[in-house]
Amino acid sequence: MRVRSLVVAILLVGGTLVLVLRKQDRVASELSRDTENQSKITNAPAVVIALAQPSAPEKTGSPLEKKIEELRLQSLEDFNKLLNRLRPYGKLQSTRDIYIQRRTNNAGGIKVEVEVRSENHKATFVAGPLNANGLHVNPFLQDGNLLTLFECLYDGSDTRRKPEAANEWYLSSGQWSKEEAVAESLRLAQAIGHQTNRVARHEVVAVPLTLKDPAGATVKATPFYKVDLYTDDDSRLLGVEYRMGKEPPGKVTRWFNWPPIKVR
Amino acid sequence: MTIKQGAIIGGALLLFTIHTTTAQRLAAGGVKREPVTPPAIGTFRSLTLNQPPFPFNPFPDLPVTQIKPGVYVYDDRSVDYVALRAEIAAKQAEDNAMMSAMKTMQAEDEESMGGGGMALMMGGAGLLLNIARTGDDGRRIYFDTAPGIVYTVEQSTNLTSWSVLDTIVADDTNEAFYAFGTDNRYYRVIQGSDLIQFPNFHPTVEQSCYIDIYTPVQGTARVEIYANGVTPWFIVEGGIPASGHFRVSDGLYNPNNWPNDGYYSVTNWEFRVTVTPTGLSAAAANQGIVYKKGRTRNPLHKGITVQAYGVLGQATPAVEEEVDNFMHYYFLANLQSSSQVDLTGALLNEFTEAAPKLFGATSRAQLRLLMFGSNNIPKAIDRLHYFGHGTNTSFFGIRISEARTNVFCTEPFTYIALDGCKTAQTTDMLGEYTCYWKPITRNEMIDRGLTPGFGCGWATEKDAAWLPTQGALVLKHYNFWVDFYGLDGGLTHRDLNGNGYFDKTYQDAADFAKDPSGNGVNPTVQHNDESGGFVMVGCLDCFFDL
Repeated sequence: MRVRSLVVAILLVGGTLVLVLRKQDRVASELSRDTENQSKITNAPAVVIALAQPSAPEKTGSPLEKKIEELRLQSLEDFNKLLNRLRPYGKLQSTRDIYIQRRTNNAGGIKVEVEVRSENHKATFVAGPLNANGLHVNPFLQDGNLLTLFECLYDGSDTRRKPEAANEWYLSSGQWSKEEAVAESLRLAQAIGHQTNRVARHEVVAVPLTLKDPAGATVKATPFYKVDLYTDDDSRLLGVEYRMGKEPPGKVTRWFNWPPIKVR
Repeated sequence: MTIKQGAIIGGALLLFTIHTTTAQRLAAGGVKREPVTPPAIGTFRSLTLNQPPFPFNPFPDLPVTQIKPGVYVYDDRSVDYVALRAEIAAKQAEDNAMMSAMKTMQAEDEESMGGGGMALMMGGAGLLLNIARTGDDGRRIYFDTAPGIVYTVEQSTNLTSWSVLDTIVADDTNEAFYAFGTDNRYYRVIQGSDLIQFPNFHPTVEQSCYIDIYTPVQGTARVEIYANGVTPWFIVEGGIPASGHFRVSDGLYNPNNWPNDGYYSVTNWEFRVTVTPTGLSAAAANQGIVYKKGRTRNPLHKGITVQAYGVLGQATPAVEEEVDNFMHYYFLANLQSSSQVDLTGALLNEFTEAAPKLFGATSRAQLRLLMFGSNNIPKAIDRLHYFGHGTNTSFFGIRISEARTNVFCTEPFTYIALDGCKTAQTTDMLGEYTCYWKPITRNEMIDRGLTPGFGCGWATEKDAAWLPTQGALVLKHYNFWVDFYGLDGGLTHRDLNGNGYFDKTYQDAADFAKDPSGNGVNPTVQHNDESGGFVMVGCLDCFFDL
């Protein structure tokens, strides 16, 4: 069954015209197989998430619209790649929601941002600014679908969406060294297309927390490991947050890279 | 680790206000004075050098003349300072000896570089006060520290009676305090014992009443915690773990509920720690006492976005209008994270034509009232974006000392952006407003029960002016802020699915503004070189509304 909805909203924020297109693709019947809890596949072969079947382009008139449709499809594919390569914390779901936002730019061009969501994860890709032909207005800059942010919606240290998620932190009894956290970050960065030879230094912060279990007993645990990788000009290339389970390794709960990269 | 029995007193005496050399004044006065035998302590000025005086006679063998009661001049015309400098340098290189009273030369060097005053080593090892002018009649007095050690800062006007100015628990390898005014004053710092240390010290108690302790002593520890100095909040006794590190808390805080786990109605906390070595009597115990302030948070944030009007000098009306437009953009961004007010405290909305402007003394008084309150008017705002001139200790004439007096940690700002030159040359001013002097992660805040706060400014001079020949602004500076705040990848970027959460942290936004890579407000800019010197403190991995 496929449910599609289209919501168009026009917002005027700070003098910038924002056009929001909401497309929702649900292909539940085609992807009814939910993967197992991520903690169970730690040592298993990578789970292949089936690509949600793309819908036919609704607009075929302009090159820009064709380009945006290409970006939408590419985002779906890249999101699945991320799930398979980062193997993030939390249950991997098959549902995909896609949100596309276009923003005008003071100097001309349309910036396109595509957000892909499953029930537990989301990724944000950017492209442009694009001209009317669907090409980057600056031919010297990287074109195409570029990853900026991948995150777990409910399992990271940011609990705004689900404050009670913190009640499970006490279960993070695994231990991980800072060296292991950095090594894992470099491995994952290479896996999705980073040039890790640019990394000149790193910072790791792992804070042991004195938590309480449901019975009110005190439990010492380190639920989150935060790794930042920097280039030699002190720019942060990558910021990763890992959530520790009952056993190492930690699993990605937030992945922010800037400048954005093409997912390999 | 070296264990020092007892306290080290690292003295340093500082004196201000020297404008002309003593020789010049004596020559001008034309008065002949007879040599005298001076006391051991007094004010001793050089006859030849334009430098602050010594509190003792550095050349006991040279003639000394009293020019007024307690003030003496030593006749150093026979001193070859160049040779003396070389001699001292050679000696230091030879055995890395303790600095002597001849540290005078270093003080000269500091002054020639724009510093001021002098610093003297009176005893102890490795503790030396340095002083630097701040550009607004202030002095920044700083010294190297060991994290976790307690330092007591004392002041005196006569070298005889000393009063405690501040007690500092070092959280870094350097700490500072400030002096304003032109009176003569001496300062000294007493370094506490390293038998009891307070690592990762934070000067407030908010959601969690705790103290982290380290001691190299093996034995037992007793920790007494007092609330408002009346009765012990609680007392804990027990064996010291082998690592020497332990935390004492009342156990009431639940990190699962951060950042809304509740607060204490306590203004002042006192932590008395006693450690007794194994097998020794109580007489051999060591005690350390530190203090924290009680901190409360108002969850209803309110802020102001202001510019110092005319900061660009003789700008054309078109340029001023352009600055107004940028300020309006900043205002709209800040309006998304908190209510915004004008200088009278009235609420503004998105249809306000321009962000408030500061003109002279009246608006300075209004801004002060909003920021600090008064005896009968509470502080109105906890968020601020300021654009205008600045120094490392003030902006728009509002000094760092006012923040220390009125805000310091008890009612901190949750967001402050000081867009002025050198406002973050050191993080002192951002720290006084936010209570955070360096970056701290969200998990560290969760661990300590602290409320998120963030501050940013510039460590360097900024090129925010306009190009006279073209009548246009240097846009890179303003574009940095647009990208930092903006929709493309800045603080106000939100989830697209309608939940509307901000999803870029302060660090993310700074990364984006620094290297917009063609995705920022100017699609031709990959790296914004105006971003150099941007300094952030507080919770860098928090969001604009948290």
